[in-house]
Amino acid sequence: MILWKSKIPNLKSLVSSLFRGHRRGRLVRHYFRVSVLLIAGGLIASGIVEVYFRYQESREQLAFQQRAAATVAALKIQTFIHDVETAMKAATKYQGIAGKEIEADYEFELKRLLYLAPAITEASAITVDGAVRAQISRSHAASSETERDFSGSAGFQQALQRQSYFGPVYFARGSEPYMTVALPIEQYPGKVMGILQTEVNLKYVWEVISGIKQGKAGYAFVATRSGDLIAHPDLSLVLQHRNVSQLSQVKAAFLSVPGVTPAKAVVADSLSGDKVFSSYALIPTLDWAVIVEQPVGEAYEPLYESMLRTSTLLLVGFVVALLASLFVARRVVRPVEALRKGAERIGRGDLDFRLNLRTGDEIEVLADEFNRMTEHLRDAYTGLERKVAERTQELMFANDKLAEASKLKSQFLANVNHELRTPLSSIIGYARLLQRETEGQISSLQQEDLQDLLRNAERLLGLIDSLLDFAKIEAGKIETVIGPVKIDELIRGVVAIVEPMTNKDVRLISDVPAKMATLYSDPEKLRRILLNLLGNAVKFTDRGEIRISACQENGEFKIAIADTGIGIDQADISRIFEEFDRGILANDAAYPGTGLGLAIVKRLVEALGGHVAVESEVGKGSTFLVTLPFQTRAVAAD
Amino acid sequence: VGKKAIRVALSAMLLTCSFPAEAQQPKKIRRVAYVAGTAENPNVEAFRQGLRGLGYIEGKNILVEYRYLEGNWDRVPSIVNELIQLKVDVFVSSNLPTIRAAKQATKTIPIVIVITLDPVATGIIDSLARPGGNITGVTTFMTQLAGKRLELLMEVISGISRVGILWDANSQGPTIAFKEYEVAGRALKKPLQSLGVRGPNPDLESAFQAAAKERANALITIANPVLTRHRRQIADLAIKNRLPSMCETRQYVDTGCLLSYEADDAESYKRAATFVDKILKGTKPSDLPVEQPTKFELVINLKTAKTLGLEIPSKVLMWADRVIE
Repeated sequence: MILWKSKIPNLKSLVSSLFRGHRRGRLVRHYFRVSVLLIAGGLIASGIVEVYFRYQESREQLAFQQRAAATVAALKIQTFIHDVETAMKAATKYQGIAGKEIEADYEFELKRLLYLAPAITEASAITVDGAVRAQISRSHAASSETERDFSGSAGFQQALQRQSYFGPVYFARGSEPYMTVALPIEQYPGKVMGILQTEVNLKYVWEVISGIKQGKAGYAFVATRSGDLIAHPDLSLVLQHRNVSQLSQVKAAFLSVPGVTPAKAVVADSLSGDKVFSSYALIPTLDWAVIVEQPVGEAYEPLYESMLRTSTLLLVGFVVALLASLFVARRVVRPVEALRKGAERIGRGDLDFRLNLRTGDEIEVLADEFNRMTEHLRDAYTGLERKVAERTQELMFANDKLAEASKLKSQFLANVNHELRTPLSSIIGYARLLQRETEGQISSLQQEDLQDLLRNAERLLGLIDSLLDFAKIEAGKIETVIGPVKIDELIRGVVAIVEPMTNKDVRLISDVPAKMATLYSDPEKLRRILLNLLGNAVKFTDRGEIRISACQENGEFKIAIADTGIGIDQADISRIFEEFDRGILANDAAYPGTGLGLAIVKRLVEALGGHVAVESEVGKGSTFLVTLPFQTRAVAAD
Repeated sequence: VGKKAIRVALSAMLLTCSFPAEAQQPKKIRRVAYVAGTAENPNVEAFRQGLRGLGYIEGKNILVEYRYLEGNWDRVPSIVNELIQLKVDVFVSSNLPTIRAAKQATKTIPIVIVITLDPVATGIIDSLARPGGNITGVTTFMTQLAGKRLELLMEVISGISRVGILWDANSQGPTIAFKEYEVAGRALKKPLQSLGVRGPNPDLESAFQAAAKERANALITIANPVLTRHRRQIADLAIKNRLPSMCETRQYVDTGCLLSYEADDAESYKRAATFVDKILKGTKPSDLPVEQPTKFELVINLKTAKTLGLEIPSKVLMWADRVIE
């Protein structure tokens, strides 16, 4: 008991786990369902077959018993009638019959007949003319009937033909069932000298029927073909002159042909309206039927008990099979569940976990293989970690070197800024001072030389500025300062700066709408972009025009700078945004440059979230298109 | 769900508890009224036997209120009322005035009759098969046997010239029975002499003197409670006056009457007990047809015959069911 109790929580948890709706219990549930289906299906099928055959056997056995009881009752009734007939036949063979007519002393024979046959209440000896010669009754004096003429009665006529007559049932005083029986009184065989007619009280049949018991509540009754109830354990029904022709068991009885139609048991309604199991036996000589019936509930009681027993056994078998199935399910599924949980732990990274399954079957082999695989995985993982550590260390070393290099580069750039820009600024300053102070005092050639010196010094300063800018861009040190930009004003400012540098044969056209929406961007970066692009256009355009236009479409802001300059070779287009790459102009003194302008444009446009593109044809000109996101204030603020 | 389950469980407990309490309640003892003409009627015991045979034990599961009239016909209404006030479950009576009074007094209390007369002819019921109303029972058709009794008497005594009919002229039943005998006498062509007596102490001597005066040579006594109480005196007077007598019940033969022919009364009273049983079990009286006797009994007192110097013919003796020697 204690062991059993200790198992209950496990069992409960297992059962509850079966019906949990997540993936884990699927295998157990599946196994359980299949088991239940197979076991329950098998048990129910066998149970139904068993019950069906038992029902058939019980029904046949019951019908057999009822038919036997009905047949016995029919025989008893036949015997009763036969006894009456025999007693009457004996009365026809009296000593004084030697004469030609029945004498008055025949009354003695009639008295003896009534004494021998208590069911006969009245007996009459009738002459062949139909006149009563002698008569006796149990209840009244004979004289009242002696005047009656019987010659027209059916019994008289049939007996005259030397045939025994059993008349139809009639109810004396509307209550008690009676039957007329008539026999010929023969002087010798063939010589009818009178008729013996009796009235038989059929209440005596009730005594026969009352003795028949079928189970506790089963009974028998007798009915005529016309449905008159002759005998029933409840005498009241007979005395009430009840007609039972409407009962289906009575109909079935009289529809059958004795010796041809096998007597069939039926389930029908009784006189009281209850369902009864009913069988019958016919009494052909009287055209009566004995019907034995038993309430269905009682008749089928052994069957119900048997069914209950079978059902109980099936239920017990089912429960035992279910528990066995659960046990087997646990035996089979638990290792699989352990395997799954192990895989889950290993999957979570616990490579030190090892499965310990000793089932002695394929699952144990699988667990061992799984452990080996985990071992390999752990080894591989450990090696990988070591290599990653090594590489990380190498990377950190390289990073340190790079940081040092970057430091050196920054230092170099600072040096450049300080060591180159400072003297160069002094040179330019002095050159300008010299130019102003010597104006008109030196020759024009010297003036030109001084001008060249100043121009080249300024170019060098520009180169150094570009280099420093690019270095900053490359170092990722571009810092954008977003603010409202009135693009038309910005472009006008840039055009004003560039316009003085344009060739006289070149028209600089600003095609910008007067009132454009405010663009939120970095105005300085934008100014630098436009200066670089316009500067290039001015530089490479000797005649024609330079057109700068701006528009806003599809949430983007576009600025185009088109010129009719020398154009760019298609082969160089892909390289023009790379630093220090000037393509075929690299060695062309007519178009001096550092090769950083477009590279800076590209980096700055990208830093503003846009992109730059170019279309160009050699000899016809180039068009640079800058596309920037049209940001609102809110977005820009973010 | 939990509360619902608790409620269901409590209701089930209450129901379970209520059954033993109900089972412990004593069954109601049924009360039956039985009114007869005289306490000397042995059929009372037959009725009791019938009840006992059906499992009724007086005082335990049934109470029978017995009342006997003993010729006091004026007590009938008060007795009937008293029993109705007692709220009896079934009213049993073999006495015509009582049956009529009960029929008039109640339409609800079932009345079981054991009647010697034809209950249809006397207007007590509609028909034997379906009596209707609240009356059912058994008829012994004693009066219907009038012709048979006269016939038997004539078979025993040849040469009867006149038959005296001794009867209680104060009672309803004997009055009807006397008429039956008159019909039978006419059918058998035998003159009858009415010997009507009255009161609880009838003048029997005068009646027998009248018979002797009219030369009656046989006697038929119509049974009733009054004459039953004086049956021995009647038998003695009959012997004294050398009158062979046919009586209606064997009680009279036991005390010296020569012959009796009757239905099996004891059986009828036992059957009356089955009617009481069916009614107490719920059957409506109107659904119970009135039953008729199937057996008749001829009893002969050979001692009386010898005293009278009579030889009973063998054909009658053969017919006898019981002979007192």
